[in-house]
Amino acid sequence: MSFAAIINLNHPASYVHWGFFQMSIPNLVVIGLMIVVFAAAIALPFPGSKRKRGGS
Amino acid sequence: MKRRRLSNAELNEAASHYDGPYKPYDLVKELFVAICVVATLALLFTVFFSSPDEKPSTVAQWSRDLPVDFLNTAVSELDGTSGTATYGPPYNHNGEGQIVWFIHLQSWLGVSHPINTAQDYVYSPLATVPGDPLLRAAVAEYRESPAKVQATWTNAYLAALVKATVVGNGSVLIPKGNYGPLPTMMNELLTLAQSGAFDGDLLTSDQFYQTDYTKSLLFMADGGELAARAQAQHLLGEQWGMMNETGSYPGQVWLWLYTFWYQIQPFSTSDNADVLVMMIMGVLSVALILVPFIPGVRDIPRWIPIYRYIWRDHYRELRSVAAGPSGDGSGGSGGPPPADPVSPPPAAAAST
Amino acid sequence: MSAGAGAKKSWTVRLREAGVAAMPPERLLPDGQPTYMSSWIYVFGVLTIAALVVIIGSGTILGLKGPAWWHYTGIGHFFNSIHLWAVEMFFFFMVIHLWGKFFMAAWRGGRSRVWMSGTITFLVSIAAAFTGYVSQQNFDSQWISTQAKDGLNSTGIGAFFNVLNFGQMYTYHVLLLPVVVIALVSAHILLVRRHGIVPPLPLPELGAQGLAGAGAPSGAGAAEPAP
Repeated sequence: MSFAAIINLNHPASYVHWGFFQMSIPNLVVIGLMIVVFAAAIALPFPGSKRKRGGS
Repeated sequence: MKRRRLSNAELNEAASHYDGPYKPYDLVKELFVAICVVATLALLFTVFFSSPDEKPSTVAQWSRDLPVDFLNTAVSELDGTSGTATYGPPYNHNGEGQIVWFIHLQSWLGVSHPINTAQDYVYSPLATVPGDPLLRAAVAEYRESPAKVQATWTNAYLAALVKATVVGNGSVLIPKGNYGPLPTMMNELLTLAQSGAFDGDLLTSDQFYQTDYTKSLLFMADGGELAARAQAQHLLGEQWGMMNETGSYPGQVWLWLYTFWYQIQPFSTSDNADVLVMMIMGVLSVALILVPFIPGVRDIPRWIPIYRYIWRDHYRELRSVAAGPSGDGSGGSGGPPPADPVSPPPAAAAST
Repeated sequence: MSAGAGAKKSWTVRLREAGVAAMPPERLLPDGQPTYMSSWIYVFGVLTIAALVVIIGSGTILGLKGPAWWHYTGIGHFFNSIHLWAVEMFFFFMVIHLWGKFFMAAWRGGRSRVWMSGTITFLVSIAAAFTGYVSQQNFDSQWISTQAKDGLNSTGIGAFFNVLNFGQMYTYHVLLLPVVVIALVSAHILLVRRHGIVPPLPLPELGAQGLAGAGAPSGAGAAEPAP
């Protein structure tokens, strides 16, 4: 029984080259996501933060 | 009153206690929700992308795919010029290893996994071939010849391999020359490898059960099979390979700084690159651990005030308190929130 | 129940009382938190722990069936995938947690050990992940181990930590390093519970009144005028 993924990633990745810097697109996506998620975590309001009294 | 920048000691004193209000919060439920979220995400990633599993290379495959490269490697193991043969500790004493000034860490820790490349990769496997008197005679002739004669044969053979041709059944043809007993030995070694017996020999020569692949992996790493596959997958050192994964999967992004140093001078061309990079990363790792004690670094959060956004609600309330009670609400809280039903956790009996 | 007053305390009683004094139950598992904790950045610690739970769960199943199982069954490959993506998420959340704590200067107020235990956990986790990568028994582990050996040999570590030795690496990966990681994470969490979550940095323009807690709204806090 084989387990096939919906999206097949078993092919060589694309790379970004800039001088001596090179990074795979998947890795860049992960790094980009981390920055976006970090910014979003700080920017997005947390539930209950603006209520007059504390409560869950 | 002039705004005064608080010292590190004052900051620490201020942060050592909190007398403000608390709100109810369910930590256990938060953990449960977090586990559900992460498990769901893992499941989604698995269903969509699965995970890579490139089959490992074997000596059999290598000798069939790249027979000339295999023979090159085998001869270099025999005459002691291969990467493993000249590595030094922990495999042998034939090299001094990497050094930084007077620091010879590689040598100081000694030879803990001895490898004799001629014995382990040529003589021992050939000794397993049963009942071949010609082969035994060839091996004996080689072993009993003076080093100078052996070198003549191996150098000539290596030069001939440059002009070798591979025929259909995987064997290698070289021009005529003075190679002594080498062709007999090497052709037998190639046959052994292509049959798969060499893989087994390398693993079980010492004992039946084996979990240590050192000999097999060092032998293959001396050749070009692994490197050829790695280059195709962007896994070589100069391709930032440490961070990459096979296929189009994300790799080990957290290793970016480890691999970065190998891309720039002087590390990219240094024989001692590994120990230099490991030392730099060792120092930086210790520095990361000791950030609270490093002036300047520990002040960066105040210089890059992301904290103003993290705690903006708290600061808004402080400002409204500082401005005095006002009739209108601002931002939803017109004044200090009422005292909370949740009491702060009890202080620990021992002082910090 | 301890012995009567005046009786010499047993080691058991002393240990219990010291433990309860250092960490009363309400401090170990509080049901409230400071009101300044109103940002999503605060959930990345627990997300990291959640990822570790999924790693250990999937890893346990992989270990129960042995290291070769995932190569030749679909269900084995499934759990290997869960394990791999949980590892990616573990580092993803941990690094964001680290960024957040750095920009909060969360080591203030006697919390340097919290920071230190966290960063040591990060570094040990890298080693734990590494031993996993070289235990895969596929081409990836062949390549990673034959490359990494040079870095480790150059420092002498290779003399007793042989990345080409599958038996050794697998043992480090499924037992030795997870024990260390779990111990470090536990110490980290206990230290957080002991010291509490770090209060906000004081705003320079609010002067002394900007110090969190001092004059912070708590009923009738006396507010100093802003400079």
